[in-house]
Amino acid sequence: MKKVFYIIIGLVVLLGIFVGYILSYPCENPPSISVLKYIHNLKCKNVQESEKYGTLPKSGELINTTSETTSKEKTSIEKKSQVGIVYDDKIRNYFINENGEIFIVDYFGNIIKINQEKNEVLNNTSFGYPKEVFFYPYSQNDLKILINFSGFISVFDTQNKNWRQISLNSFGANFGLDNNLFYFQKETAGLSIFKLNLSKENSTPQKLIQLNILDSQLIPKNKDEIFIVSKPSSLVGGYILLFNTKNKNLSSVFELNGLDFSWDPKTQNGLVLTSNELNRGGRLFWVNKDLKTKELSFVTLPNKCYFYQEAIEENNTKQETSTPQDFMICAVPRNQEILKNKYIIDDYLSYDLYTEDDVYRINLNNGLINILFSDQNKNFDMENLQFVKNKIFFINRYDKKLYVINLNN
Amino acid sequence: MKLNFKMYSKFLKTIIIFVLFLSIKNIAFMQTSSNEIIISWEAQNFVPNEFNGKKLVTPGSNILIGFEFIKNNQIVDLSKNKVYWYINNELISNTVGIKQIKIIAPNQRGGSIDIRVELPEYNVLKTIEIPIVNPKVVINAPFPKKEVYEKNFEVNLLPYFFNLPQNYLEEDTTMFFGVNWQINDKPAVPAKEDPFKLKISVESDKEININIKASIQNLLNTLESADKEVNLVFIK
Repeated sequence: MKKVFYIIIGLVVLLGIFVGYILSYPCENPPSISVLKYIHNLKCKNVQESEKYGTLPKSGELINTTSETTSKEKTSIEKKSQVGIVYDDKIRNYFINENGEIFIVDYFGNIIKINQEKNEVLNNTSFGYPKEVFFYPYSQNDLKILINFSGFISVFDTQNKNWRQISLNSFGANFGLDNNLFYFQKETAGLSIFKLNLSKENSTPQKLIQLNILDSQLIPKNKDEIFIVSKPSSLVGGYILLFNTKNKNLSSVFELNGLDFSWDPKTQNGLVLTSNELNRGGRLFWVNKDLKTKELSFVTLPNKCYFYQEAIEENNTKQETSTPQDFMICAVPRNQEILKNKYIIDDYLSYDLYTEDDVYRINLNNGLINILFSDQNKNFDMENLQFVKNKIFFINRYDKKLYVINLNN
Repeated sequence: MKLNFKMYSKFLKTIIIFVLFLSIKNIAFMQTSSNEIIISWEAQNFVPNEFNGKKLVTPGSNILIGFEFIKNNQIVDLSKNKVYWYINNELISNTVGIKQIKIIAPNQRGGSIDIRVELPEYNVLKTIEIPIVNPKVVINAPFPKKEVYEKNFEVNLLPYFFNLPQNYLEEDTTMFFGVNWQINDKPAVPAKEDPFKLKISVESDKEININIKASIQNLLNTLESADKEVNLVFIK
């Protein structure tokens, strides 16, 4: 008899744990532990589509607009615009400054400035094929280009046309804000994060922290903080840590399965892609400046989106005011269904998956979406988007050339 | 023993208090914990130069595993603390201050390795799962809808996660691989300068289907191989 009561106690306790856990379970962030996914699905799978941000219009439908929507945002499902090639050769990355000058790093590491009359080769010293290329876009007159040549990392100053090589044992480098460079460096004692001030020619690297966080990348959040993010894969658990370079605080932001992350330091917005059950498919979340997430109704790779701010005029009864609003332009795979069976991140990064994209603009203040480009006769797999003077620039992954969509037409 | 109402009531009270306690604990658990172990790992195998994703573990891969314990937003100095490392529930190290280990992935395709770190003095532990996948090869055929409109075009072979010698030179990787190509079930000869590249010339004035198969083998380890197939349509 006693045993029966102990069993009852045990069962009630287990039930209590289960109910307590489900009640307190937040739906914002999908779990990283596989067992918890079932609980997540149990509680969160009924989240209505309307609760998700930026619902894509169905084929043939007009986009729902509210009274707050400006006439500019009203558009139909078909949106054809003039498309042209900006640079007719394979490139690794590009940058457009506010003056409209376009800088390119091609597949051989050549640095070219595109002018209307004649292209100007800024550097043609071949150090090998670039693995990664970053631009320092926070100063108009001081554009710097970081190239990871796989064997070593070097920074090119477009003003004085000098190279500055980073220590040979360094990797995972990225520009911070305030003309700084952050990178990992292998030392005998272990792994450390270093900061290099690029504004002074003879500055020495400053060691910020020694830490055992392997196979990660650095992404600046703001002037004082950088994200330490695991390399992306749909198949493994990933993490995003936040490191404060001033007070050396380190904290965990997200730990998610199948994590890919992007962040825009200018507008303080980001995106998190995480994989679904069995690591296939995915869910996309917008991350705001306070690192709160909101799920988006579509799935795309974070590097297919571009954030920007625009002043929107509001017509109040007495006076006209303009407030800056955050927007996101995303190249979204037309066939969302096909993504459900893919290891999205791994398949995409390994070129096992190509997409054919439409382009949407999402107003992050109210979730309204409108189509900027959708032409069934044109198939682009877009990455590294930039939106400048009502033109969308992108690299087409099919031929690695630089294209532009002119929305002024 | 005979149970009376008092005993029932006592049991019930105990249960309610215990369940409430557990519920509160659960709610606290869901909030961002200030004490956290972050385990990370790095597989040492081959990927093409352009690949910026995570290198996945294949049987025989060397894996470097490390961790940090974050408490109150600071990395904790564990140089005087015992660190317990478990691989698939088996204790492999309980030495003071060990924050990094190296292991070799077992020959267990499709399985995974459970890594657990325990710090008894701080009453924390963390387990992660490292999946073991097969080496992979991709035929990079960058044509929308797999439709080709040019008579002359090329496709490229991209091998992933093969285990090559530690200090190989990037430029010499082709020497470690044996590559076979087929077009429509007939052997095809790759480009002279690069066995990973297949140049194709179509001599047809009609729409034709092109089936391309490729297989790749690690010449230093015959058990490591992968194959891939793509179907293209040449449209005149």
